[in-house]
Amino acid sequence: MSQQRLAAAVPAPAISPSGASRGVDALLVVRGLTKRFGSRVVLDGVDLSVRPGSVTAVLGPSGGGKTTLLRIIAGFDTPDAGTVTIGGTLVASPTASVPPERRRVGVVPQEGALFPHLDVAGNVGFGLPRGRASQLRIDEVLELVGLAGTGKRRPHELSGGQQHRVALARALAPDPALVMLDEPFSALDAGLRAQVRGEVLDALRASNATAVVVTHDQLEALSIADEVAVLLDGHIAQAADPATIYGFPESLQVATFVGEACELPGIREGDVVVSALGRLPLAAPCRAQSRPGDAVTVVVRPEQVMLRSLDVIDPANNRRSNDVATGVLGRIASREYYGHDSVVLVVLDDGTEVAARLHASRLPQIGERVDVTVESPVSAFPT
Amino acid sequence: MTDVADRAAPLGDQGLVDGFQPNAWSRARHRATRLPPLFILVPALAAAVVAVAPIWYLIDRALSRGAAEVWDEVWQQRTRDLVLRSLALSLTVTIACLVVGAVAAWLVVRSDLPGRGVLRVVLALPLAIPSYLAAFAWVSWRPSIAGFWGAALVLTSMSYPFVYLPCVAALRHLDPAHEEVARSLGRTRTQVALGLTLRQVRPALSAGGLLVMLYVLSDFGAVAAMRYEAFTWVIYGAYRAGFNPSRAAILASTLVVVALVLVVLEAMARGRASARIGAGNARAGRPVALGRAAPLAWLFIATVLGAAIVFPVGRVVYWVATFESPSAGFGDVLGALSSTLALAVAAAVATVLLAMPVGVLAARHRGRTAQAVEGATYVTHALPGIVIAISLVFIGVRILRPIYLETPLLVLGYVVLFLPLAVGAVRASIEQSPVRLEEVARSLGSSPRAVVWRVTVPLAAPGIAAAAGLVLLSTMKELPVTLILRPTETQTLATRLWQYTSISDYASAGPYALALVIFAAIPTAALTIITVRRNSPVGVAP
Repeated sequence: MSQQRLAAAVPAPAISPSGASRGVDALLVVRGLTKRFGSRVVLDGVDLSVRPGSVTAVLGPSGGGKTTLLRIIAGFDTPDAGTVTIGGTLVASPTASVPPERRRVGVVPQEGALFPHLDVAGNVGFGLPRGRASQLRIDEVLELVGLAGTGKRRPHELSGGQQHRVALARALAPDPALVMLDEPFSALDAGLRAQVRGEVLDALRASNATAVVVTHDQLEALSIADEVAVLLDGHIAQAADPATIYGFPESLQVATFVGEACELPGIREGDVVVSALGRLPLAAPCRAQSRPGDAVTVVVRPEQVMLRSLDVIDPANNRRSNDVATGVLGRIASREYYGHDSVVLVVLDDGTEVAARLHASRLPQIGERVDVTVESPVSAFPT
Repeated sequence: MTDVADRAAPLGDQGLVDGFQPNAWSRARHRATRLPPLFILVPALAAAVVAVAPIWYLIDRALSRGAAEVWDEVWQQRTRDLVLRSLALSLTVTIACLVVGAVAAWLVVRSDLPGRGVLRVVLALPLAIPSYLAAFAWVSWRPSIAGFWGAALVLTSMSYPFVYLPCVAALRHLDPAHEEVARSLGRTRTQVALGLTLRQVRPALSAGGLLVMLYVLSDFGAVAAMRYEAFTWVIYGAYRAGFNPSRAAILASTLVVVALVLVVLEAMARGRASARIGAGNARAGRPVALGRAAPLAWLFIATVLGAAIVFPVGRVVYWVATFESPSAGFGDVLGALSSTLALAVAAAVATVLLAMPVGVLAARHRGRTAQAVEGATYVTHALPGIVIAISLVFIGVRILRPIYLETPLLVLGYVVLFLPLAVGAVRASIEQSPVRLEEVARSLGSSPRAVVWRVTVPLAAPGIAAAAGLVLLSTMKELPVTLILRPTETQTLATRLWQYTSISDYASAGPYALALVIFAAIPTAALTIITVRRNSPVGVAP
């Protein structure tokens, strides 16, 4: 009933400030959201749009206002400026607010926050009307999160991961327009995290829910989300699919916040940047940000850096391989071994330090001479 | 029409501390600046009106002969001495209760004291024993004990559970991780207990301490039996003397002023209950080994229980066993018991119903309105029962004529008298449950009103049950309001006991005293079992 009313309401604005092409059919539209606590500005003009059926990660540093954004969208807080629109209905502005119970926004708090006085079925059925249909729905959602048959258990009898999935089932049960998860996996230990993350994502996809996941974990955001919105300094610095965010960041801040990056001073010449790593093609999305001749900061991801040892004799022609050096020369300074891969620090002959991610089976020795080349185009931003 | 609800913008964030806060969720706990909903506000205001009506009468009465006489009366040397005597007693008892209550609570919750499960219940039992009964027990044994120290001894042994019970509840909700972190940072066990743990139970201590202080100021039975000239005894004398009722009213007004100061001090001193920040479930803490201090702990417990329970109960049993009751038949005792119980149940239900909106308001919508309403309900606790009784006689004669000297007016008297007890317990238990659960309930489609009934009240149920129990027991023991407002044919255990003991007829008083001890002790035990030994981990949620 209320679902139809929401869906039939005013069409979403044609122009969304961020990701204009994606904003047209957005389910959630946040515009110019600002929130202060005393003198501290936590949110400073946040623009965000979320497509129906997608999983969007809001990625930002701890204490960066992510939870405040979530609380405003859920209706627990009111913004000082800006609006929140869900399904075309304006739900929050500084002067008017739809109460949380009429927003159809499900919330999964950080530790689950299950009602301790209710059993699992009571928790999951909290948002449902009493009756047989609700009982079926409870079983259905519990099945969805892989906890069929646990309805009679009490919250404290469940493991952390199970509590979390019950909290998700509780949020999904009333079929909300939007589900929001606050740092959903940070309370779980690393081994369990990947597993619970998979289970939660499967449940979200299976229920065809639209989800916003708030997280400070870059890998988590990149791995689970269809869209990543990077929240830095109180506003969305960039919102795009994970590959774009990682491969083609729009600013130096996004580039360095999302994943590891080497920053090198350079000069742009045409569509090429010149730095200690030589002449490298500039990625197309970055070309509009600077002009030929500008001083730029070149961003190189460790896995873009290729190393070739010069201290071995090439068996094919029995010559030292430095005879065929194709890149810049350097020496291995240190290395960190991670099992699946390793990161080595190379000091180039001019003293510049560059990190390279290598397959673990090809671990060079410290002090070894290497030939350094860079794969694929790089990003660069005006200095 | 749009779907946007017309709502006033929140009042801003003046209540918020500037600067860094660890977490937006925990911050939200303290940010209740939105106007409270009407379904909370209106009944809470009604409770406040009920609570302050006697004060209105009192002041009206005190001023009836003009301000000059008020000034003369207040500025007399004997009035100032009276204030000092009452404050000295009140302060002494409060300090003693804070020490006894906190140490006892810590021993039964956090130490490895053997038998602490049973002791947890037993230590709350002195609540069941009326102060005048204990006082007469001591005086009948050694008349020389009468005076300041006798009154302090009796009042401490009777009222330390007001500190002990909330302290036990608070200690059980504590996150042991805090203590463990402090230990790992190099604090010793004693430093942790005195520094960290004490700070974390401060809300419970300050609420309990305030209750004790106000209880002592308004206690009538113990100071009368100990012949210590405190406010209440002097006021009673002035009222009974008859020819100067305004002196009683003026003295009682002075007492109200003292109580107001206490309420303001409590509000200023109140530490905020700390939120559990971070992930995972709160665990039960590992008990602290007492080691060589165990005999000392046992001596402490034995002294407390000996003075508070064993001695007075022993004296009562001695009276019953030694003398045959000359005037009390079994039927008389049974009749008094049934009317006592009926009155107590009615009072408990009515008081808790009125206390709940005040508790919700104070815990969830902190602000000036909430503080004013809560403060108003506390003030009456400083009014001696005798003053509430005569003020209700006045109100009964003037505007409630149909129920004058009828049971409803008596119940109303109990409600006015015990509202502070219930509000304190309800508020503390609501504050313990995280706001986040209520927010989740809202996001699942529950209206603010539904959230109160489906989340807030069930989570606070132990505290609400405790509130009802406190009121029930206090009503059974209550004396002055019962004496004055009871319908003429109604006799309770307390009025019978008072009649016989005040003429030193301990043999006749014995059966009533025994019935009172037994039937007040059982609900106390039940109350304690619910609040203290509740197995369901209320601390599951952060």
